Amino acid sequence: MGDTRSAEEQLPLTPAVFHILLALAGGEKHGYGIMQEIAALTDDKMRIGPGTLYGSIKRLLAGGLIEETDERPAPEMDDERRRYYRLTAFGRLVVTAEAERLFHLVKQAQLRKLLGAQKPTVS
Amino acid sequence: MSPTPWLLALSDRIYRVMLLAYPRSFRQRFGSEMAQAFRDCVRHAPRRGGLLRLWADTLSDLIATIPAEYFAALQSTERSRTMSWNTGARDHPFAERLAQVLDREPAYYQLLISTEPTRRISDVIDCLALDGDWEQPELTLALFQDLRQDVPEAEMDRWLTRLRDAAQRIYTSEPHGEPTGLTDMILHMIYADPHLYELIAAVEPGYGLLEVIESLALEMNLEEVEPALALMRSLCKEPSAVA
Repeated sequence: MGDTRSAEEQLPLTPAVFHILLALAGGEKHGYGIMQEIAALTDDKMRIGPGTLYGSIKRLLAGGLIEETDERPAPEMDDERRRYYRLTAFGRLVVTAEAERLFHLVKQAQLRKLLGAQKPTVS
Repeated sequence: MSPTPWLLALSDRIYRVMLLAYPRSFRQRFGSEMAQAFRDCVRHAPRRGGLLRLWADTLSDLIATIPAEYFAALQSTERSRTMSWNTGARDHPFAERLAQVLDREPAYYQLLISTEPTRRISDVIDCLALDGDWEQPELTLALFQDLRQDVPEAEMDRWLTRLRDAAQRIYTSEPHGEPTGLTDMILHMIYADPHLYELIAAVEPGYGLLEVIESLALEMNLEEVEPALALMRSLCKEPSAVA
């Protein structure tokens, strides 16, 4: 079945969803693996709890942006109770579109000299 | 310094109790994964700001997400009502159609072996949705949940019995290979022991069996599978202890 949905229709993503998709862009992960990846990506500034994570995963599964994978790591590296998730092709399109949208915003911020300039001080 | 085992176990139990506040369908699908993720967080809490900070983050997470999941569940139920009317499901009970799909696709029975005893029926329905509304499996699942409330008990019992019989038949007629973990081994032995299977099938509504199996698998090792099964037998004699 062809996917006729547009990635742009899904934008903008919530910060939690964007971070989850970004974490999965590096490869399939289980829930705690996603949480760790997000912490690493953001220098531990962004943390999401299990409720936010799995609420988002539920909606991403329903929207076809991610899927559960049957392939498992080697048994000694794995815990059989864990479920692993990965991006679908559509999910990759969506996270790419969101990254481009954010990149465009960052360029606008640069044009307005909000980046790279000396931080203003409050007198 | 890692948290002491009793502190880890206490945090785990408190969190599991808190998970009961989520809608049942959400808890059944994601509860064990959330508990697992939380356990991992507790283990690594000393490196990430301590247990107090973890609990503060967790409480705010619970407060923010529990109402959101109830709202989502309500919306889902509303959509499923619309769908059941539009698709003529009133004339062709969905359970009957699911059974027809299962008859056509033996692979679904295989899936049932690992899901139905633990009541993770949502996995089965997600799969069945491939034959139904592919783009909206959640609607199909919601329809099923909605139907469970409307279908006469005898009809649902007949359908579930049919699924269990078929799953057991396929399991016993096709080799599965050696079980690889304790959870798998427990499930394997449940099916190999008709008496135990009957005990577990009789636990109605059966909710909580997944937690029983997982905690047995967590707390024991492969050499202790017999004590685990004995404990499960005793739990099944007292359904209230499982539910």
